[in-house]
Amino acid sequence: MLQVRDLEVSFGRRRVPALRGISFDLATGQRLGLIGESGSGKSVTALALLGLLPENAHTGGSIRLNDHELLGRPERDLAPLRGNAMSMVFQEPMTALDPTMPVGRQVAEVLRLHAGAEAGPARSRVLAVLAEVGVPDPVRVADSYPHQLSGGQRQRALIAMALINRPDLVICDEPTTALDVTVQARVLAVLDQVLAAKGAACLFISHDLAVVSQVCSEVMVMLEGRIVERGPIARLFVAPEHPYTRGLVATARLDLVEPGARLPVVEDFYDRATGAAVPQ
Amino acid sequence: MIQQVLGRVGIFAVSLLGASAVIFLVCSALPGDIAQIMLGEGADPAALAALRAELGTDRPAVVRYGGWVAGMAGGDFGVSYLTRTPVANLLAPRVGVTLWLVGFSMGLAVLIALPLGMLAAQKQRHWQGLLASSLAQVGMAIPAFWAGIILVLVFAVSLRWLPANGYVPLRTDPLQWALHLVLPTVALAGVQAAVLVRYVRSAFIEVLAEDYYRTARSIGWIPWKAMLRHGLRNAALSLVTVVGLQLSSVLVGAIIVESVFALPGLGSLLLSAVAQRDLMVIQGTVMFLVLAVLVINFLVDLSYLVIDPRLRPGVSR
Repeated sequence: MLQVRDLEVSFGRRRVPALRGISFDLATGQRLGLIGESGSGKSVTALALLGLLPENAHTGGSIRLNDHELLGRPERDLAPLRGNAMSMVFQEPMTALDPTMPVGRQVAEVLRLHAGAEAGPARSRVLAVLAEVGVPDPVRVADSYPHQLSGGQRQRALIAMALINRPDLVICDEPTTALDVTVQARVLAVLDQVLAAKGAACLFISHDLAVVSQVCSEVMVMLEGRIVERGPIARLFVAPEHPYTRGLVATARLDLVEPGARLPVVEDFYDRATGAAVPQ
Repeated sequence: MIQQVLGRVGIFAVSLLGASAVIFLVCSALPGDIAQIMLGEGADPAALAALRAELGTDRPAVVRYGGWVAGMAGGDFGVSYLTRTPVANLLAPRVGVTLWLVGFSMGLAVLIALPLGMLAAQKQRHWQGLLASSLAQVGMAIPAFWAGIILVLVFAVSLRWLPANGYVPLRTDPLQWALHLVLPTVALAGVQAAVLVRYVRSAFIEVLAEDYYRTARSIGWIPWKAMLRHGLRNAALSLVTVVGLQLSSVLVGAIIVESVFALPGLGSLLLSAVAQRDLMVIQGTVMFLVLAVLVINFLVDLSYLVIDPRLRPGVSR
């Protein structure tokens, strides 16, 4: 369904590279995690897929969605795909909704933009999808402004917006990072459910291996604009190949650390300067 | 909501009273005795005293101030020293002229500045954006009176499309009324639009960096529509403040433009009153202008509550 080949992105006149040729495939309904530290190129990948990179970005390579090339297509061809064939759940539920518009209208907009739905039927669909993402009181939430809702409710509303048109691909960029841990678990469970219900493929971006493992079975590890490893999460935990992945796994398995011992860091396993493994 | 509105009414009343005191103090501190001016240099002292008593200028300042404020509360702005006409009667036919001019100018300025500023923000790295910004820079450097003169030379003298000056009341002839207002409105609006473009541009550059704008793009809005649909109202919060502040400078600009186009508005009344030292008319006119500015600011304050749901009281969370 989605084929990315040698995707390169650089910024500005000096062409500072952000992605150095990444390639991956995503099948219909498949869930793929994308993990890496800040600045590794995860969010740039997401924005490149949607065609929402800033103006000073230069791109190369190929992105094919359902056998149509997306890279280099003009805005008027891409806009109808966004929110319809592919959608995105952003990181910041606090600021990702328009503060001056009731949440329900913002969800309904996605419907009306693509399906041309009338206000009446749109509203009942909005209430239904809000209920689907686990909003306890859909009518109240739909009529509320974002500032009247909690972070978890806002993130559910954003998930509802991303899924209401049954897209083929949902890109989740750290969707739970801004939420506290208990809310995070519930939102992830909801996301897992609705993705399954709608049969949508998902590219799930996170810096947290534990979070990714709740939604995805397979994961790619990104480092400095390259994908250094891809594999099933279970295998990655047991037998990480790349020294950087080994470091990531160690920092995610804090339960293995002896009480009082120094917490592991990635640099214990991976030497950034040389790119080689640190001898254990 | 009612409490907030009442609070703002209170601020409004206090500002009005403070402004009246300042206006009165400044006018009283002006050198020159109106009775002396009216009767001329070598006038009879008894006649001077009689005239002062008649005008009320022999009373202590506090008494005069009290009388003036109490009168205004009842709609009586005092009586012109020179023509003995009530100031309210002088103001009444002229208020409309100035309000039309100011209202149309500000409206036109917003209509010009909004699309231009949005273009300048959206295309900030392209030639369209740079052109819009440069136009604004040039526009800001052109004084309204000069723009007025050029407009008259081109559209009234050379092309003969529009009248060069004068005014026809709306009730007399709506078409002529409109035609007479076109050039003064454009002259006054140009500078204001140029100033406003810069604010619109920076407000929308902020919007472009907001997460909700990115969300709007991600659900399929093209840039222009995302800006209108989700940016306009958010940008309006800061722009309403600027427009409110600009309205007071438009009122000042109107005084000059009215004299360029010989419009019988408050500005020309004020200028002639100053020339004749008719203090009562000056005080009354300035007071009325202050009232207009305060009403505008009051409305701006209230508009925040309408625009931004976060400022409305109610249950949060």
